[in-house]
Amino acid sequence: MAFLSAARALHHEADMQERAGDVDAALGSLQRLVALKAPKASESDEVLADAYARLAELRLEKNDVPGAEQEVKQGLDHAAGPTYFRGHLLEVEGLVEERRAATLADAGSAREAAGARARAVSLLEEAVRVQELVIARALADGGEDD
Amino acid sequence: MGLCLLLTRCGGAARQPPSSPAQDHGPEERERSTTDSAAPPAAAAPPNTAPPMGQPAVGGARAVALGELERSEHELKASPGDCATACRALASMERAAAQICSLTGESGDAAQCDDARRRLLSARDRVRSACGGCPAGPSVDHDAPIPSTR
Repeated sequence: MAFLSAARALHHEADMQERAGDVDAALGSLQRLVALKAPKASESDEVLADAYARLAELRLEKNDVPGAEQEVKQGLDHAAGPTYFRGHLLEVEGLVEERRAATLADAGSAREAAGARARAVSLLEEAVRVQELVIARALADGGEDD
Repeated sequence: MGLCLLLTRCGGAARQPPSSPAQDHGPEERERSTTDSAAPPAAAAPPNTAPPMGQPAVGGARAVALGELERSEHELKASPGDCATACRALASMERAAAQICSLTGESGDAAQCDDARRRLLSARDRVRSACGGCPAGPSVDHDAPIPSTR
């Protein structure tokens, strides 16, 4: 309960910092969030997966591709099943690979860029399939199966 | 709450047997009553069933009301929590599909884009049918652009 409350407060703090254009400060708030001692519960995993996805997006904003990739991988450790959070992390990972492809193309590495682009498409396709399943499960018999 | 009010109105309209002239429920009811007067007598027409073919005015109105009722029942079945999850997933799906189409557009390979688009449009239909819409979220309109929001 204390973890969830602290996580909410830190997300709110990061929101305000992001709105003010201070990406570094927002990264700091979210890093404090993922460093919190989380109780072993699926809810904690969802909060952490969500925070790592946000961290990855912020790192991408700073063009830190390896850093973003690392955040996604840590997030995926908290999102094993087909959930919205896993789908979102795969979506962000696709964006990371897309950015990598662009960087490689700019550097004249056409072949490597094509490989990164193919990985990006594959990850994004997986994200689409996971979210499709999430929607189907959420709405199956009005969610009565969940 | 708004949904409940809508349901009450739709359910009432569709399930209510033809009103008797003795009961006056305001202009809306009166209008419905006038329309219903073209239908066979109440005793001959079982409630909750579509009228016989060949009565387009009454059939059309009832079809619309029954459609509304069906949609409202779907909305009632899907809880707000289910719809929030579905809408979030739909938004993520939409962003991913848009990126796939952007990336594959460069290489001229349309199959992956077409597949992602097909899945997305099907998901939009499903969310619209169960939830009605996604407030402040992605569009559930089948023909909305991809992505519908940014």
